[in-house]
Amino acid sequence: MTNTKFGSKTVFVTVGTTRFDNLVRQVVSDEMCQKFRQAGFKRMIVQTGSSPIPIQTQVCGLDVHCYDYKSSIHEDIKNADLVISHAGAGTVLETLSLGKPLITVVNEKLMNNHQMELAQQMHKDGHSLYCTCSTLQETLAKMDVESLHQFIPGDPTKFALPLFEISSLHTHSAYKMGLPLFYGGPAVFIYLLDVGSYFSLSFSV
Amino acid sequence: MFSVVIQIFYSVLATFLGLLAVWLLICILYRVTRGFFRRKKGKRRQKPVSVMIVVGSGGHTTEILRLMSGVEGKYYPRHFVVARCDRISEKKIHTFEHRRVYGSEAEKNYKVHRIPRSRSVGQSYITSILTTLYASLYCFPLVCKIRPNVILCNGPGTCIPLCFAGLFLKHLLLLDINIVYVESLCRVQTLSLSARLLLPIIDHILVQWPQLKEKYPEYIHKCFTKAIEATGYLLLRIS
Repeated sequence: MTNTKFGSKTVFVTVGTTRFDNLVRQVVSDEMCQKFRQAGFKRMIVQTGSSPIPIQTQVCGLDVHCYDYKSSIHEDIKNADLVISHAGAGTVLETLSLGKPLITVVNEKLMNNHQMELAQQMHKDGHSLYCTCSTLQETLAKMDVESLHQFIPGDPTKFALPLFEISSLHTHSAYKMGLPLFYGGPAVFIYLLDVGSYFSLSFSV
Repeated sequence: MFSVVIQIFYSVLATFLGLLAVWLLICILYRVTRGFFRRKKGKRRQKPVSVMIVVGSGGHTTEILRLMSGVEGKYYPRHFVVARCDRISEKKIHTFEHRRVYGSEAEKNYKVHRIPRSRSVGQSYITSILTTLYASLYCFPLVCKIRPNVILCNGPGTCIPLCFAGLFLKHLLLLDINIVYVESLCRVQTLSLSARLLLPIIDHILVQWPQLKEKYPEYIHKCFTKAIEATGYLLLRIS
């Protein structure tokens, strides 16, 4: 008997700008695709990043579509009914602010695994689920969309006031006095410091 | 004839070195008499602020652009600095800037600069020191050229050489600069490595979770001025 608790049928898997071979290999495996079919999914879109792209277009009755990069994965997240993602902040926030159920998979191989923190915090606050590659199957089986809390995104305009305060401060009191010496006088040294130009390098686009 | 050229060359060099020595003396005198990092109430900056935004990669890019979407007004020209190999971030910056609506023509002024990457994902710490040194060869002249009033960075190692360049010029009294570090939203329990490295040299650090504020009270409070504390924005969840 098929369980159709997710209603509609697309699952989107994303690994961000780096590589995450384990996750990509895991989601296109036979076992995993069967689990997806059981959960009522028909289509799977995989964004593979630098990981090798799997060749299959259909696994156990699940349509698999893969690509490496897109300038914006916003549309894919919007059209998906479940998002499985690496724990990158961008993807997590984008998915949660679109109100999609999310499973974050933590990449244990990454140095000094800080991505775990956000995934854990979101899990603690009840916004998403988090797991490792090996526990993905169980997590999917246990998942209950109703129990997840809605995530209310933060307000970037809060940043305006602190930045305004900071940027209106002068670093040295000399600047407050407006001594012209401090602006123009030592320009000579800037040219001495300009190491890059000795190698005739260009900086701006 | 040739010896005259050499003579002129050396006299010019000597003049420069002499000026440098005098300048360093002025800097030291200034520090001794005025004290370190003491900010007094006084004239505030009214002019437009030239901002250097250090854009990382992936999630860092999204985050800093989201932060920038919340501010408007006097922050121009904006100089975005990206790692050279990072085409995606560059595209994101251009779409972000084209989509935004600004009040005046001057406010639209922005530029993208490319520097070599300090540390790619998964690179070991020892080799990343070498690549950081290589990157700083590009960063010093870049900061000299742009002369930003605010350096805004939010994470990856790319910002370290830029912050050091800013610090260097600040202490030589060549630049009126505030270095601001915005800790990434994904840091809930611990500060990132670049934040810990930069803590002694940055002017302000903004964190997004109360856990961090409790964990590093000495730093977070040290870096904040009274004015910012008074506004109550110890930055909880800005993105």
